[in-house]
Amino acid sequence: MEKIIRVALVILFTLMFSTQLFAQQNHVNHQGLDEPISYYTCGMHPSVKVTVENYEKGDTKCPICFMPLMPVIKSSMNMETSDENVISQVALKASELKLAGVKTEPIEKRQLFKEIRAVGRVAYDPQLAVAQDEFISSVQSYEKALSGGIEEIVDRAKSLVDSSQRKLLLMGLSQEQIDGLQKSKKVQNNLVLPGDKMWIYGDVYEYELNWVKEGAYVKVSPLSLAGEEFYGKVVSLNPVVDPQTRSVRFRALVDNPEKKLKPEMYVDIEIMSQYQDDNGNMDVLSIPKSALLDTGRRQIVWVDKGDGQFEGRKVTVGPEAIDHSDNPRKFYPVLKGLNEGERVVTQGNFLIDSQSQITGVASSAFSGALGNEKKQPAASAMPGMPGMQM
Amino acid sequence: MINRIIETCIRNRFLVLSVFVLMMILGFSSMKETPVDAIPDIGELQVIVYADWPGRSPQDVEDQVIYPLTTGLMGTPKVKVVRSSSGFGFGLVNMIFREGTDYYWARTRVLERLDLAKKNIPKDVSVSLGPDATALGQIFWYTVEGDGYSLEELRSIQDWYVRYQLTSVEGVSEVASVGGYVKQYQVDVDPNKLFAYDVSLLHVMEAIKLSNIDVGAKVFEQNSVEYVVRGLGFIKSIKDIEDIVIGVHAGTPVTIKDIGRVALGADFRRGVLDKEGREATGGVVVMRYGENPLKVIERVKKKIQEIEVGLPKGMKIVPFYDRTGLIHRSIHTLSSALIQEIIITIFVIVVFLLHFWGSLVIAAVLPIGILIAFIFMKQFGVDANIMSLGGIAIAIGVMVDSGCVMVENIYSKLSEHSTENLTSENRLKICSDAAGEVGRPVLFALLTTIVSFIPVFVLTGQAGKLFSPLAYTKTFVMVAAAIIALTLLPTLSYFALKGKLKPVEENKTAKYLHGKYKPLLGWALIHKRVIVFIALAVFTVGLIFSVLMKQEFMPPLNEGDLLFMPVLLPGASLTQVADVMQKQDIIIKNEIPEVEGVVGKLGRAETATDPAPVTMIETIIHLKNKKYWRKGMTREKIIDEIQQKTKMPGVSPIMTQPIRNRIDMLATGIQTPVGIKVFGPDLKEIEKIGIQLEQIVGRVEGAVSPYAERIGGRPYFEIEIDRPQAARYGIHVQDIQDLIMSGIGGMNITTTVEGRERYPVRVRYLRELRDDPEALKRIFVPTRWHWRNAPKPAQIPLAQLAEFKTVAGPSMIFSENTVPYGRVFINVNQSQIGLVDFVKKAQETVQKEISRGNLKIPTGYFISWSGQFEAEMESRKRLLPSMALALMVILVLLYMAFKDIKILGILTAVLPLSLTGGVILLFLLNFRFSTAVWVGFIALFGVATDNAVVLLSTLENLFKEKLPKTIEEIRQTVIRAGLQRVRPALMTTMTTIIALMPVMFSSGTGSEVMKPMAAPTVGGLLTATAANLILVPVLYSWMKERKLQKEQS
Repeated sequence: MEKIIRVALVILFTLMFSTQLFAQQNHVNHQGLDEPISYYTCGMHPSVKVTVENYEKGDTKCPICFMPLMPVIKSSMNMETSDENVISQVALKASELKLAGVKTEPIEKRQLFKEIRAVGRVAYDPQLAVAQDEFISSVQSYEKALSGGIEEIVDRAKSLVDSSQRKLLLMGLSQEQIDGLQKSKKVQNNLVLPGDKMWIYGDVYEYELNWVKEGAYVKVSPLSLAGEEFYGKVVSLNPVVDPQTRSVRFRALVDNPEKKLKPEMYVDIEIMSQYQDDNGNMDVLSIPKSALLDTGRRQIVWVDKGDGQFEGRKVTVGPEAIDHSDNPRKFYPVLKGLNEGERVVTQGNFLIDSQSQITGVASSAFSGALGNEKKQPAASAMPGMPGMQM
Repeated sequence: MINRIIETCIRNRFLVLSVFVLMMILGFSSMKETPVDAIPDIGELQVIVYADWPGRSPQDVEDQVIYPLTTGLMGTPKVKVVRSSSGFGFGLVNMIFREGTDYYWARTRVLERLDLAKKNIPKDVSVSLGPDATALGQIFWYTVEGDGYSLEELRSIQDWYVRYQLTSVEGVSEVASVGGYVKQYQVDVDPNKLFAYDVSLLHVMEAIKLSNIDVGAKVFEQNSVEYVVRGLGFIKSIKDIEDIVIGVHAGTPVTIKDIGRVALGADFRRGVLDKEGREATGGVVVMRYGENPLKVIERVKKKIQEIEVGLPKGMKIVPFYDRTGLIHRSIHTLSSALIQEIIITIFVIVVFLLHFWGSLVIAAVLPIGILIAFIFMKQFGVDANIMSLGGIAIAIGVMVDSGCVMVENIYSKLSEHSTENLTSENRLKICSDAAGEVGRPVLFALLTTIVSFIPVFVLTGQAGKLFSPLAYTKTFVMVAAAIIALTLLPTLSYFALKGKLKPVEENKTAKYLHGKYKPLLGWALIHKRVIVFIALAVFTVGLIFSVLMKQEFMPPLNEGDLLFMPVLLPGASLTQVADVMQKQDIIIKNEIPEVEGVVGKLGRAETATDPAPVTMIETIIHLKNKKYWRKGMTREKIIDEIQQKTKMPGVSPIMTQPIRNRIDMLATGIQTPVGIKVFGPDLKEIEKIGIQLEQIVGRVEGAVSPYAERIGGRPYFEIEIDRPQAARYGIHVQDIQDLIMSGIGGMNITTTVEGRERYPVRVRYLRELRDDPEALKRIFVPTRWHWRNAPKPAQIPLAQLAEFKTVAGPSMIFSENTVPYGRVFINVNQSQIGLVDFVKKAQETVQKEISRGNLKIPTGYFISWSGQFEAEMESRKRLLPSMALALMVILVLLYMAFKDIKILGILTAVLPLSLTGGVILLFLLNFRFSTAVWVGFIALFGVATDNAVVLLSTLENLFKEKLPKTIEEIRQTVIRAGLQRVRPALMTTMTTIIALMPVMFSSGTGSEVMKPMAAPTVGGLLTATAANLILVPVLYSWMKERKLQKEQS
């Protein structure tokens, strides 16, 4: 009898304590998917990966946010590409693409212009006019002296010409302008009075200097004449940085057909400088600004391979610039990573990139534009430890 | 003692009756006043400190606000842990208090500390205490709608009219606005013009600040009249701002309109509301802690009716989430189950007792008992919800047991006399004697039930919060039932059991039962081995099933409404997420016919109880009544269809429920069974250590997918100031930062006062001049010192002062007790290794790696182990002793009753069999093991042995009366005892089992939580009854027979 009691007691205790009181919540996922599941992941933390086996054992929630995990469907795609720039692939259904509003466009060669904004004013520069006057008269007296032939006078006149020329150079005129002046022997009256063409003095900063070249197009819009625009070209750049404003003055000559531009008017200036690649080509392969996902670490463009297949491509691009051909839009010149005629995603690329992080077939070193660096390899960090169960 | 009480009661019948009538009235009023909610509040007791610092990055918020704040808040009394998180533009400090701390006391302590802590943080941070509400506080959501009104107008009405009126409703803690646009005066400055007019952005801001004030100047008297003097200068219109003068340039005043444009626009927003594809604006009513949600919603609705009159024409307030529906549904499920239970119980009693008035007396226990339980609930602060009412529901069958025993005994004693001839004094005597006889067993049964619930009382954490209401109410009704049985029932019996009472033997039900039971028991006594074998077989089956069963923490409650929660990866912009939300809402509304309404929210409502990031959409889907669903549609199918139809790349369609989600959102800490927290100053280093730990722990046996949190994920655009460069131009870092803040980010510099309404005035650069990296380079910083003798300071573009870079950074920074941490989450295969053992092993492994030098923990860093295993260890620490204690107490009680260790052995043999029945039924019904199931088992535990106890005491009595001399005599005596007890035994079990049938067959809201709790009792009592009526007599007879054989040989 005691035996029975003992057995009964043992059974009772084992039953009561053998099963854990606390257990994981097992949420049924109603995805209703027939496709093969590769693993489970969290929508907010795609680096979480749970194997199907563990999922079925009850590991059904994201460890971080505790939300139900979602299945990732095995993709038929495989990363068989030798292109090291391809970093991820993702396949999407047409309905999903439509819902995500994905838009693509072929990349073309374009003429791009870099746009620099600057402020300036319509020149009212009596000093320069005077200097020009001085220069012209010094040139004239030099020419006279030449005809006179007295060496001493010629020399003096020459040095007068030189000094007034240097003055002009310092005031920002280019050698060509000075040469022109020397020929025309006409003081530019539009420096002080409204004319058909007006001088614009603008200031650009040191960091922009590379982009401001003589001959660059300028668009001028006076603050006081809202909506009106005047066009011209950069003619010369001051050789000296102004210590007061930390900027460099440039001169542009713009058309002023109705003489609306008046000296001393404040104007906004846009300098359009054409982009050239390293070989000096003006036609450059370029992608729309919206096609580029930039993380600082890498720049990614999603390429439409057709049939709902997309490929993430690491690219190198040049500075942002504008194509003025039809509707002015912003582009990046592509330096590396894309070929002409490929279709790039210009809308919905963030969503595609996210999807690639959640379910895409990624090459080993990639986890999406906004994702994290790849895991550090475990094996190399801790090589062959004896007695460890792997 | 008990007999004296009974006698006193029966002699003071009028007094007893009046007391009970009074109690019923009191109970009724308590019932009306008890707060009613759907589920108990299972969140931690936390006080949230909310810091708002618009536009700042998580890193800035952490370094400059949250860290100084938490250091100041540390050491608040009764605080368990201080957790904090820093997000974009805001930070939260969650002060978790020890359970049992008074909520308002805790808030006051936090406030005291906060006062000091605030001194160390930047002045423009607004720090406040979160609302005095918990996760369950968001009870009512509404939109403010009106055709022809802009989102700004709707939001203004919501902010300045609706919100404050609704906040005034009693029981409302806060009304938070969400969605739409906050009206804002926007001064968009053109830096080129600043340059041209030679003024800086700081001048502009200063000028606006100085141009917005009304003043008072006391009074003056004139002709005996007193005039109040006011100086008027508040900004009231765009023009007022345009005309503000900044400075004088070459003799002409420079005003705001010269350097930029002023317009009405929308303030920066971190939340969008969308109703069926159209952007909307609305609010959420947050209920105060401890209030009655039903009442509060009722009052809110009444207030809405009142204030709707004052809304502009065509505008209206439309609710889209209303907790009342859910509460009503779940209460309805339970109350209808309760009513059905009561009716069925009465019916069962009538069948067994075959005396109408007598049955009614027993049935009286139910309503009176429940009403008394409500008095207790009110006193102990137990709210009405599906758990607490469920406690009553599963107790109904057991409640009447004591009544049954009492009335049955009085009945049989009375029926022994011919009632017509009894004087009332004699009847009184018989009644009180009969009641006295069973008084002790009634108390004993009560004690075992209460004792068996001790383990439920000691549960801590979520489980404790969830199930203790149930344990309380069950105990309350049991106590109430016992009180009624001992005091009221004898009195009522005295009145009710009159006239001719048929002797028990003539009762038709009894006769029928005896006819069936006698041969069965007779056969069983001969084939004892077969019976024991069957018992063992059943037990084995149960054991196998118990291993096969899956586990879960808690069966999810069907809330009715769905919460569709698509999330995008961190870094998604508000515009992108809003676009996703709009498209999905349109599809859900138009393509799923079962959907009544859909309102999506992205980001945060402006309350501390909503920390959702912009990348998270929370769409409340209100389904139509089931009758209007397509044929064959189920909730699961609808969920599936929604997820399929709204599928978008990069969007994860999570489906959850509103209340559940709110509780999850406010929970902090680690939710996996095991977690490692890596503490330290640098997030990068933390991440590195975490990833190493992930790999080390992954090799420990039983570890399932360990995962170290990755910190990056959100793109940051960093402007790093080049100090030597800045020095070259004579510019302070602050000069640059001010410009970054106001020029790029825009700053609300002052607030207009327009009657009741207030709107911010913001200064910022023109949009196209600051919304891409190229434009940012041209933000001008004026030099502080003039160059040589220059007449004005130079303006230096940012590109020459700083380096620009895009980096990946944290989207959220978490810290605990002031130290930032990263988490490693570990799930554990618990069939392979116990949690506590796993942790021990994992800790050893990690320690080994550290000592070997494979894992380097730099100075200032440390790791700590945490997770749900702590709760389990805590539970184990409490649960094991308490369960052992409960068992001990029960065994001692049993031993005291019988003073025989062998009988105790027989009783303990029956217990596992009753558990087995529960397991088998659970398995057949495809339930999982959950805490709810365990509570069900504990409930079963308390009643399973009751019948065996009674039967054994009858056996003992009969054997004492006349000791049998032969085996045959033993068997006859055993059969006699069995026949005596079969009717009451079956009566009590049948009431319990049948009473639970309405719960088992109900399908309404809340039934999914109740069913697993009822199932063990139903299944368990079936096997327990079989065991009690067959196995117990068999074992007893076996015992006696062996004793006899021993004596004879």
